[in-house]
Amino acid sequence: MIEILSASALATVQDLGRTGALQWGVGTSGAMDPLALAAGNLLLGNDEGAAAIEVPVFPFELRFTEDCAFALTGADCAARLDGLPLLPWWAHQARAGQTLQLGVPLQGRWRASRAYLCLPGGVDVPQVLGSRSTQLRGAFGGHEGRALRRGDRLRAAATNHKNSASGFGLVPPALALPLQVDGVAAMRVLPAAEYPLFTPEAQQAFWRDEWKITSQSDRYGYRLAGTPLEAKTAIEMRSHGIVPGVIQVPPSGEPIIQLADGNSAGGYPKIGVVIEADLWRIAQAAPGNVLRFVSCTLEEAHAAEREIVSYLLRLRRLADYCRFPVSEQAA
Amino acid sequence: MILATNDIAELIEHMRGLGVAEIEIAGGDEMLRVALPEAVEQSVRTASGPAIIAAAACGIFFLGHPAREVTLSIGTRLEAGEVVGVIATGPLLRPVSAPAAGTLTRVLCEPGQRVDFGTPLLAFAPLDPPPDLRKRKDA
Repeated sequence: MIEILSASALATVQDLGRTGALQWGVGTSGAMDPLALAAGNLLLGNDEGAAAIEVPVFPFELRFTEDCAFALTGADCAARLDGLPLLPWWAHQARAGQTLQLGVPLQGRWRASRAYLCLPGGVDVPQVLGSRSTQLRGAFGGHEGRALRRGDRLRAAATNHKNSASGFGLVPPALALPLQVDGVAAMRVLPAAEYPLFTPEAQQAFWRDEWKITSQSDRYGYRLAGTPLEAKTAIEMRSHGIVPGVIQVPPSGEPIIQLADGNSAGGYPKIGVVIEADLWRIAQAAPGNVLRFVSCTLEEAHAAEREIVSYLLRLRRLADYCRFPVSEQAA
Repeated sequence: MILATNDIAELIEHMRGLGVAEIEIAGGDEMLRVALPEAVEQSVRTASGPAIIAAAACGIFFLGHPAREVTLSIGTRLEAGEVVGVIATGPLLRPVSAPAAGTLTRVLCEPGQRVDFGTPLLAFAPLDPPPDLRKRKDA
């Protein structure tokens, strides 16, 4: 069991999202960086989609009230357990009473902005509409439908986890699957339905320019700043269904990327959609940074998805060896 | 080559995980035979001179962590059990840790290089426990 010590840090319980409910206007929620969540779970031998704690604001502190294995992935927050430094993307073991501190993400080789804390079996909260993710807009799911605050106590679904061995880690996907253009973090984008309605200049600028992530960027979406994108003629549309990753262009001309907690419908024209395999890259890009869009085909998007699946499959196999040494398998 | 060297390191990991001691792969004109040595624990040799930290896995050696800037240097004081580096086998990272408290005296293996079971990685001078601690240990 863990107890949150930080006042209110916008940390939420998330899994891989509440899919299949968009028809009722219920967004997907879920981890902004699903790859970090899945990798952390694999370190502990959990299902890839087990619920974890997503931490976007630092410092963040909690106390283990029982002995407990845990894994840290996502942003490298120079974590400390009772003051002792911990490695990022690693499975660790805590003893009852120890305090885990996550500091401000390091500006090392990879600057990221969200950390994930995984527990054996996942964080034990009830499923709502098939998911344990916190739906902030609807105030349900996760832990009481809200962000965590001081005094909250959460339980790991598998408290006495025999199979979780600590002491090994993973190469972060930012190093294993890097994607940059001219030294700038990049995301692959499929042109969307209204792409042809933008001027050729706007289309070129969209792919060529660096886009700055403004401070109005959170789990709902990222508002970008750059040269405004103009349509050939004013576009008026009825509200229609949208998904995380959709890049809308409001009348101001500066794009908005809808993300995990985004609307399920919107009326702005869509210039593109960030492919699902690259949503984690946006999630880890911090406000103030710039990003670039790279054009991609549907085949390339599928190939990127397969790359993620095989990366996770490889992690699972190798991590399983570390958890099940041969001698124990025989026993 | 039937397999790239990186893949062979991962193959060894699979063999260790599955308890396979020896394997032969043939393809075209080539044949690859991999035989694992007896279990090699991360070893410290203290027979003479400084203690040596040797590799207990096969893969690429990193000083510190591949996602972090390296902060270790000669003379860095190490706590017992402190992770001083990692060995990467595919996406998997295994720790290289100091078996006892001491001071890092030499880096014996260029970071980024492929290492094998038992490759000497680091040399360090163990710190003699203070007399009162030694007494307690003997008791």
